[in-house]
Amino acid sequence: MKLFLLGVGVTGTLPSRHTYRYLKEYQSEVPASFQLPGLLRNEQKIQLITSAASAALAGLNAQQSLQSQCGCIVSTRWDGRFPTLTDERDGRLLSTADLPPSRVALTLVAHVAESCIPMLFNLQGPSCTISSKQGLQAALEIAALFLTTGRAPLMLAQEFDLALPVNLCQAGFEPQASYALSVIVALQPWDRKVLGEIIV
Amino acid sequence: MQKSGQPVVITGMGVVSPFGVGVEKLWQAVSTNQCAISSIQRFSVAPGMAHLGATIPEACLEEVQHAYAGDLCRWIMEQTLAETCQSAHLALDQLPTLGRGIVFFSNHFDADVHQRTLKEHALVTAQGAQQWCLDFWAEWLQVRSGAERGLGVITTCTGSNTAISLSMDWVGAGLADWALVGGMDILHAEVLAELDSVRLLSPSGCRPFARDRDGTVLGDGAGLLLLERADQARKRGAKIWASLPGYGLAADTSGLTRIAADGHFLCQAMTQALQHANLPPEKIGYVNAAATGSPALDEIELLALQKIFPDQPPPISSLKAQIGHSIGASGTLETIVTVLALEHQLLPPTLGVQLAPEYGIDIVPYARPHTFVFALNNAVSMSGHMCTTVLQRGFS
Repeated sequence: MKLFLLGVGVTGTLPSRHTYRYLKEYQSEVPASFQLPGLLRNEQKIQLITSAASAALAGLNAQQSLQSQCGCIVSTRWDGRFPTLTDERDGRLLSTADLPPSRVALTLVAHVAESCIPMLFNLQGPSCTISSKQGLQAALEIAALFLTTGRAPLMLAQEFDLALPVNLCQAGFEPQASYALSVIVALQPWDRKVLGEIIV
Repeated sequence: MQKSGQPVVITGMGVVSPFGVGVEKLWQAVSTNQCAISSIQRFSVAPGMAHLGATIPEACLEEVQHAYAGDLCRWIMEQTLAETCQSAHLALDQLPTLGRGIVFFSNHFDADVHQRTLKEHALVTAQGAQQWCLDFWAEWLQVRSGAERGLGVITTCTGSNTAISLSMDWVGAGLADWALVGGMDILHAEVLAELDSVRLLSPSGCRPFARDRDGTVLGDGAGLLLLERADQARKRGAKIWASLPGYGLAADTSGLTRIAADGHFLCQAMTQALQHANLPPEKIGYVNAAATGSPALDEIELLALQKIFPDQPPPISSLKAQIGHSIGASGTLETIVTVLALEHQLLPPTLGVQLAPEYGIDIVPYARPHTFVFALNNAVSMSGHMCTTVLQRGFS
């Protein structure tokens, strides 16, 4: 199935393995705060996620009614729960019992991206968070189902991962840096500038 | 909203619940108004913290120690997978003969891995890190079942219902011939600390819809469903437990961890589900509520139900009073109980409920006979994710 690509937003650095490397041309300058080692503070995690979504949605703001029906699907495997709850000095895991409640609440909610993107951008279509090795590709497959069944006229699909602890990155494991990649896709151009086409 | 293609049916079910291993044990206990909630014995609870839980019976844990070296999650997964195949009259290695398979699995927190990593390894290792992947159990199921794909669904309390909904579309559209769908979550000291710190847990018990409700109680649980297209299931002579004619998904945009007080978004999910199933509200004979015993959420769900069913809402109940809240698995357990309720034409109870006549809603206090064909199953997560599924008795 062919999907029209209507918006792209990237924050952080896409891992080298990434299937959609051609989208790197849309990559923004990486703010230093996104390269934090160890515990990624909740505010920065949300900033990383929402910045990518905001950049992707930028071209649609003039058509609020369309945007409000937009759905949201997020794909992540490393969302910053326990692997990043480490003491950077020795890589030791921290217990949630050692953390203040406010940090526990948001750090451990795996679907925080799916929750904050619809809230901040008023996306009232269906939303969902999945986890898959196929990353954005899997999110796009589900987005295509929502589009074809008429659940939403427009879908925001996002892949994000937060950097693994330093000791794992040193051993070559990815992701070594936090990143978020958002795309807006639809079955028709909606009078928007079409950035490309994606085959799902 | 268009139909996603071919009708999809449930042909296999497996469960591990606080009442033990097996669908029959769960139904027998639920339908006789039993409660599995008691003081947590499996681990020590810090003074001042919520101390109640619905845990797997001690007798099961002995088998876990002997045969699975204490790996509770793997034992649970093996049990549910085996029962699901058995109830579908298939051997595990026969699943791939049904065609292309997919797994959608919901798991909030693999307590075993966390426990072992904290106690034994202390440092994050590569192997440990792999097990922290959010789709770890989805991939495990994919490998064990021979499915082509394995996807984790990580919307916590709505994870199971969302997994069922996505599978419905996926199988209905012909992208797969069968799907293994479900969820697992295990009560653990870390989860208890997490939810107690945000004051979601009750110190006195889980009493959904009761006037004196003061929070939820966590529980162990895992469930799996085998979904197939109806034509395929009929062709191979499989028992059709129930069909899945529709679902609705909605995102509450009113706050990050808050739900709209007027129930607008839950109404949206229920309306979508009814539209997808092409059913008027009056056809619904029972609602398995998301109610957790939370003072705010239960009230919101009652308001939403009043809006969807303005004349006379159907009977409703919440299973969480009996088996606690198993987060990522709760939707699957509730689906299984609703399927059995449809099969036996018996409404499950909401233990401990004091009827609230001001709402004019029939909240079932004890299990009782009832004639119905369609049911709704609601799920709500604290981040504002809503998912409602429609279940139909058998298939017509």
